[in-house]
Amino acid sequence: MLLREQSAYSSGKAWSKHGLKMNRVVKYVAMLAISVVAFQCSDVPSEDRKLPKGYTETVTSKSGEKISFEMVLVPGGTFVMGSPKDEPGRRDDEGPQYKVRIDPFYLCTTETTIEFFLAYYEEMVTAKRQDTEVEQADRGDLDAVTGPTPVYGDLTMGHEKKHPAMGMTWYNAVTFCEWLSRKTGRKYRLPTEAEWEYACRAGTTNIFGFGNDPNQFADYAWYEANSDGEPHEVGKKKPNAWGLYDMWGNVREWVYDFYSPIVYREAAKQNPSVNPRGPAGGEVHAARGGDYNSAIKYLRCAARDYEDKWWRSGDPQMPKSKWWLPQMDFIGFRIARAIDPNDK
Amino acid sequence: MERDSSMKEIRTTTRRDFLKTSTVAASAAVSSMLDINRSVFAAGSDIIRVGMVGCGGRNTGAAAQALTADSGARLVAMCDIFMDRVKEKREILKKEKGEQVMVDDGHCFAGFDGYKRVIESSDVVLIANAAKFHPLHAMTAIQAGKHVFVEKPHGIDPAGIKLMQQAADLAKQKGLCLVSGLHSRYHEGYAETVKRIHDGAIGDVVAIEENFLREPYGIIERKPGLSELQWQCSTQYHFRWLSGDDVVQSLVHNLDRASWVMGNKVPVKCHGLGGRSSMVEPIYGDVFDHHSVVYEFENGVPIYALCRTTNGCHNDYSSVVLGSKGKADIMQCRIWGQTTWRWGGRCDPYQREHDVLFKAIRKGSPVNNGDYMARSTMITVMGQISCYTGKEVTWEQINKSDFYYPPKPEECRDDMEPPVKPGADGSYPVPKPGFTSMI
Repeated sequence: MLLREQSAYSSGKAWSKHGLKMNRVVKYVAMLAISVVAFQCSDVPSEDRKLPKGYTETVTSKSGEKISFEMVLVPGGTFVMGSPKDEPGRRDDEGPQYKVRIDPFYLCTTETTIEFFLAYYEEMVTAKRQDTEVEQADRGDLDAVTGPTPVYGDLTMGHEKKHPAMGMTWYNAVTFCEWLSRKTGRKYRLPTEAEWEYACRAGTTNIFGFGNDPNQFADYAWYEANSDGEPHEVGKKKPNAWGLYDMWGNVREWVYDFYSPIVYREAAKQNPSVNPRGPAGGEVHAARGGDYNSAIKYLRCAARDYEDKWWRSGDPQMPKSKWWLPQMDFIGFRIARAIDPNDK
Repeated sequence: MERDSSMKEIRTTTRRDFLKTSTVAASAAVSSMLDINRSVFAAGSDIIRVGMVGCGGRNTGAAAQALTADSGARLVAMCDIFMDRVKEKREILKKEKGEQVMVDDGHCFAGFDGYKRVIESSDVVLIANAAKFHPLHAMTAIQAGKHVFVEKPHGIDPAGIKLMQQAADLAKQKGLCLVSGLHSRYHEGYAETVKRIHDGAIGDVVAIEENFLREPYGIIERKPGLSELQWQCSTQYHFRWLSGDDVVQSLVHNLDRASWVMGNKVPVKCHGLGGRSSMVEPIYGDVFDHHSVVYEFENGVPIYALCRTTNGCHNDYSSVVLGSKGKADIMQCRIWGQTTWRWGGRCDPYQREHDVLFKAIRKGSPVNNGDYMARSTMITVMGQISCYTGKEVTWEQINKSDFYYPPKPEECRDDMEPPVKPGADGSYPVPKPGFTSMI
């Protein structure tokens, strides 16, 4: 499926004003038919209490630098995904609300930092031009992890090492997770869209996850009102109730799922929907949490977003890079990991 | 409801601004309007025929941007040194642009002379291939009465750049459009930042720092069966006679911005240094992997310009202007001065280049970037040659020079021997500062 088609609805207005074109609906429904699969549900312990509440992982970069990151246990549970029709700032793709059961998993307390991403980049960058189709076929095989092509310009975009990594494609973020899995022996991945929203809500049912008062945002987020138009060092604001920093603002975070505006309609047919992971195929992926430039309504736990055609505009080539979104300093990611039987 | 505002495009502003400028241009160019209309809208058709000279990633992107800019644009002819690139890119463009891509097999050309056939078949010629050929191909298209989009750099040596200037002058005379791929000039945020610097936001400009420090250009495996000439052409960024090396290729954007900030003035002299430190294997051809050039303007203001293409080093892509009362970062569209300022918009300058070009063609009010494209490129060539020779180079000297990298572009033949050849150990001869002389 082509990115090009995304442009038809890139303004977002198309959904509410003109509704969804029928052929697209059919397409999305077709994808959804084979969609709802769960991550590792059989191996998951039912009692969270036995699991460590968190752990620190340290990796060593090629140049010998030690980089640590904190993973925190997100307890399993059930929550209501999406937003009610009367929530201020709501978009249609946030409904209908539906019940979701999430198994416990670990989530990184911060967005992936530049120094962490650089460690991956330095190890994996390959100057050889790669054939995109061949690469695609290689995916999934850990021994054949391919690395990003050299970035055009400067990967850090002038920011410091504790700033969030930015400007990578979803594919690049996923490849990072594969690299990290290989390096640590633990299976890291992106959180699903449902896991992300569940973690953002942190057991609450209010609009923002810390309450309903947008005036508190200055304590929790780098966003439109306080960011000075740029991303900031991770973990400098208050975390949410589960110890997660910057779930709102700073950089948007890639999640595992393809984006579909009607995926909730399908998922709502199950009650609850267990560990949903979105449509089986799609054109673009979802990205959550808003960024440093976002207004408050885009920082709501339920607010959804997805790759826009604009995100590729810094790359004047065709075919466009599958690794980089040059100059797009507002998109990053956070890593997750499913519980495995060795977690005791 | 709108999606997040931080993703807003500002194409509407782009168009409005353009209309303003083009109206002014139109009144000044009434006489050329008829010419344009005759040459483009053949037999009253509203189709504009587009041809591609060069089928690398960049020109394929440019073709997509051209076809996006104008729904009446049709891609009709393509050429490259290699036919497989032509065919591959034709398929990619078909997938993206559907019926706007109308290139039959008879209009796919390969080899050094393919450009002639593309020019014959087109109303607008998009040129993005080895920079050695940009001036000749642009000139040929303009002589044939065709509009041109040409990527930077606009030549790699003084002889080529002079030809590009002639092409720009001829385009002006003929009322043809000539749009340069020096995209900074099409970036509204950069333009606003430069305007504020000109209006005194950072006081007097004291110095300019230009960085383009990054990873090496992609390397390509040498496929068996390629002749030495084909091999060099397939990896042209690594050969000086084709690309002109990295001051010319990369720093041209930076130095174009620096010259723009300085009121489109030129530095009077420069001294540079450079060499090969990490990229020393034969696969990296005969280019340097690091350069630094210090330029000086007549009023004493220096530009410190650095470029590097190595792995595992500090990277930086920036244009920083230091003033007596503050500092500006053009690429971040930011100013720190008596008041701090940041541009809040978003702009896709690559698309805008083509929006402007095609609107100008439709309106019959030619756009011509000839006032800066040759000059900015000459500034880079001056620096590059200083790095190779180790000598100071003045603006006067470089403009007097007719130096060119042999062979002349019009003398390139598909069966010729390449001008540089590997030695017994596979490596290519490279310039030796202090020994090499060029101008």
